[in-house]
Amino acid sequence: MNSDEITWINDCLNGDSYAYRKLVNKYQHFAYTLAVRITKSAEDAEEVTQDAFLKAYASLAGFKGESKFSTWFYKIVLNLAMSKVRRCKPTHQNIDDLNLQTVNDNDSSRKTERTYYVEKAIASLPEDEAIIVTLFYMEDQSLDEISNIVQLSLSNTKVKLFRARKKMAEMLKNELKEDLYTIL
Amino acid sequence: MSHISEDIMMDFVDGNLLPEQKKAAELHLLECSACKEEIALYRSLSNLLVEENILKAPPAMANHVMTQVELHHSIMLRKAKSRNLVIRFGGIMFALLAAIIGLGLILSPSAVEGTGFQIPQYILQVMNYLQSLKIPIKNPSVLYGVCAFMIILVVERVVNSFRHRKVTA
Repeated sequence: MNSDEITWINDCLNGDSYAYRKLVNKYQHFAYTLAVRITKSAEDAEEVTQDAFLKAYASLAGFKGESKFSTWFYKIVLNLAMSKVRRCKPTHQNIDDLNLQTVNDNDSSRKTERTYYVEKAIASLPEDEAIIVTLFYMEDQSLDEISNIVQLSLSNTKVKLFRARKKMAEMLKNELKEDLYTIL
Repeated sequence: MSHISEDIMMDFVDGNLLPEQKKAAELHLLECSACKEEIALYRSLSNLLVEENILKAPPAMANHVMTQVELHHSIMLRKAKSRNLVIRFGGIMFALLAAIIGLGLILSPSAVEGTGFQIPQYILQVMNYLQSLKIPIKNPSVLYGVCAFMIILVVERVVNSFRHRKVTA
């Protein structure tokens, strides 16, 4: 875990709630992305992300630093999103209605198109594969950490990641055609 | 010519191959255009996912989170304050009780014949009462010890509650 995060967490534990904003700023997009991939609804994802941040803040004293903060926090996001999906009957929004933007968006229509196809490809994966592929391409999440978050064995996680990437490569090859090879 | 397996391809793209595996894969790629194309596909997919994987959270979300966190923080602070108040009030009550016992020890002494030691009548009464309850206290110093322990405990609780208040405030 990086030393900034340790400082922020200790400041939070000493009553400085403002220090928590730094953690929120750092992880809001990652948490939201993970929640969207599970709930498949922008509104539910926003609610889940907010609840996850509040829950993490309330139980910060229980975080012992045995894993990275991100691993611990993503587990909270994952559990809350899963219970949300289980509680509410699926009212999944169509990808076209999600109006999603990526962190790297620069308003070019080509990028928006790519975002759309990536979202479409991820949405078509089974839930566990979508979660694993999302976590794998997030900031420095190792396969070990991912298997800890999703509570699967390392080999099982690796197999699911392999399958997900294979399916996505096939789908995107058909959708993006030549454009995919130019993203190098 | 056998092609590179897909899991090796993915490990190649992720940079997870051992040096000798990587070298073998690179040699194969020099003469196999089909595998080269597949590698390019997986590399493009990785680049695409690195770029497009992270969605932008709604701009107002961080502020909503912080409003909730501040609210939670103030509730917890209020709870901690009232808890400290209870602890301090309890501490003061215990201290008063200890002081009353202590004062009783000092202000109502009665000589015990032959010992030269002034054991207060009050303590003797307490000892008699405890013995009637079948609690065998034969030496008054046990009561002095209990009294001293209570005072130390109370002081420690009061000091701790003040220290805790400083951290959370």
